Amino acid sequence: MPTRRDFIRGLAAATGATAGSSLLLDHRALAQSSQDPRFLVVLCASGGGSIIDGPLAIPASTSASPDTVNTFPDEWVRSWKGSPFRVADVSGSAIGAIPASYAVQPSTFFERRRSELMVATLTGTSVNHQVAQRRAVTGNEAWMGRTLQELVAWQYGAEAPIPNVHLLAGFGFNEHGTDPDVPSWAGGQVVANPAAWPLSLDGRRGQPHAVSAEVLAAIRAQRNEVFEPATRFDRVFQASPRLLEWKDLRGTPQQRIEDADLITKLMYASDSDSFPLSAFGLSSSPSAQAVREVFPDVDRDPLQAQAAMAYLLLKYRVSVSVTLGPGFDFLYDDSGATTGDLPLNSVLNPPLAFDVSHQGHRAGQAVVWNRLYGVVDGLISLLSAEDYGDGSSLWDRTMIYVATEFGRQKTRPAGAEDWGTGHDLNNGVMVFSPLVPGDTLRGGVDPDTGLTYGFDPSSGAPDPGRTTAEAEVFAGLLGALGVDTSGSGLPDVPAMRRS
Amino acid sequence: MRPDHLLLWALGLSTLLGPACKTADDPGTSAKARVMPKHGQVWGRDLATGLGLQEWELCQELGQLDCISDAHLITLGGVEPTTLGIDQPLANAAVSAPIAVDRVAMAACGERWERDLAGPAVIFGAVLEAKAGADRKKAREEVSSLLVQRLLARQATKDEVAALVDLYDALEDISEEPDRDWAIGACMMVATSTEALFY
Repeated sequence: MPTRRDFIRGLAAATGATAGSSLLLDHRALAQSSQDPRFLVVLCASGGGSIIDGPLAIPASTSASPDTVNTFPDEWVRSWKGSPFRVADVSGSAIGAIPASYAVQPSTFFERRRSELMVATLTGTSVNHQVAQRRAVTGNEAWMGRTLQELVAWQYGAEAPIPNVHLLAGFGFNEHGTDPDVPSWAGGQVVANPAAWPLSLDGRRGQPHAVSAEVLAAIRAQRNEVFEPATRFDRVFQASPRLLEWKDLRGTPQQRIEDADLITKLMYASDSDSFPLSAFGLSSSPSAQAVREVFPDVDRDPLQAQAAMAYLLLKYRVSVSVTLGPGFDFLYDDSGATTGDLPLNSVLNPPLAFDVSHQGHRAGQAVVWNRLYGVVDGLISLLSAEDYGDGSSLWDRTMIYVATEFGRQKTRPAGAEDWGTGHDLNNGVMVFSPLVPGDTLRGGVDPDTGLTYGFDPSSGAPDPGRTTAEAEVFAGLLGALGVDTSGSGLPDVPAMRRS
Repeated sequence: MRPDHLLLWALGLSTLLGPACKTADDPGTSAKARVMPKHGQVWGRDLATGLGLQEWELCQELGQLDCISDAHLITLGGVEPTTLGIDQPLANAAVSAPIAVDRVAMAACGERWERDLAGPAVIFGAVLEAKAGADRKKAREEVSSLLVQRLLARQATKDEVAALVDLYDALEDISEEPDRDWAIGACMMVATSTEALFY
């Protein structure tokens, strides 16, 4: 059965003539890269997260059209000397048609984390959710349809048990790339239920009728090497790609997963009546307590559960790319007392996440951005505290790319406090990482129109006559992550990486 | 003879004498080799039927979560459009799918063994009743044939029976309960073979 290394050798031989000296096709270089990895977290701002409702808020006094453009009262907006970022602390009594009061204070988050934030403005090419989501991770198919996650997994994950994990499913952010040359092990693996998933990472532990590890190994060997080859089915269909894939998974990938004791390391759930780990000879991860302190709602909030798993996947070097994000489901905290309307901040996730903006733009954007800031904050805290082993932290090697499909309409009915918006190609993206220039805005925003404008890819100088293309952001992210783009034809965007 | 009749005659002859010359021992290899995975719930139904268990008796993670319809639903190729947005099975097998399959089969086969032990036996009766050495080997052959019959819905070949029976030799030195472990292991081998998992 061909191994990852064989695959890369074969691919290099087949495409070497055209691919130049790409590191991705050099198995020795990949092995080396896997010892010096970078990590990518794609945090999906599903539904259309508007950058001018995030770190590029526009104070009303700076706009020529404050009543009809999406601006905020000056007293709501917080800024910092020398920083390009401005955020609005917002409160209200309803989220669109939902009578739920909310109050968010993103300024406290930016107070702590803006030094690790770069915003790059962007003008996309689709206002269709699924299409734009995909383009957010492929740069509009900028490099043979490969996704950011695949490329990071390919370059840095050759030795990782499961290099590319998607904790969110069903979105364009999760689609596979279209380049058949991307090795299958770099493709995204969907994890639908983070709490139960570790149970699928060991063939026997925690089972009431378990056999010993040695016995299981003997059973598997007898099946794979003697019984199965004796069946007519296996002989007739031995060339089936599906059977070959299945048999490959039973080999090194299976061994890597089970040897790593992931059924324990990734088990963030605590031992309880509803999840009786100890009764079945299992235990929580040694990191479970630390994770649950940072993400206390892991049992109720799917996004926190994803974030907890994302951290564990990186900490234990299971993955080098993790994708997560809020779903489109309504999520409500029913622990508060109800007197008339719903309690303050009881809506954790409005229906359709950011896309609730069709009914309630200001409220929806404020609530969902705040939700994502919480995840970023928690992940940075955990990853910063994790020693990589060479004096640096895990965070020093990590990028959190807040991917979204598009922005929202920049205008509002005159003086409206909340209103509905459609989709707008014009927007920007947030990137939290020590690998990018911190407290930095690439591009800018016109306060009179709410539209963002681009920047010079080399110098980073804002350029009101330019817009930033998806491919440029894609290339800039890859550059910051140190992914070898030789032969890709992608533009070089040094302005997006820390010098 | 009309030309088209001649062609049919030639085709018939080539089928009989052609280079493929497939026999029962050598079925040849499919050029298209197109197989599809059974979704977890289909495989689970086959497994439950073969082992004489109800589907919900096959495997419960932590005694709480049904392995096939809940804990490993997506891993085993299921769908869950309502809350997860997964309305198509995964395009490729999940990396942990073979492990999950082994896990479910171990639970189900172990459950069958325990129930047969308590009686009345459905599959492992011959092994449970056999006393002497020769009888015990024969019992294992009998159970092996039964496993293939019940889980793959066909008769076992000699080679297949031998492969299952020989597992005992591999376990004798490493197992504290070789009869039990052989029974569970032989059952797992059949239940997690590619023939059981794909169609």
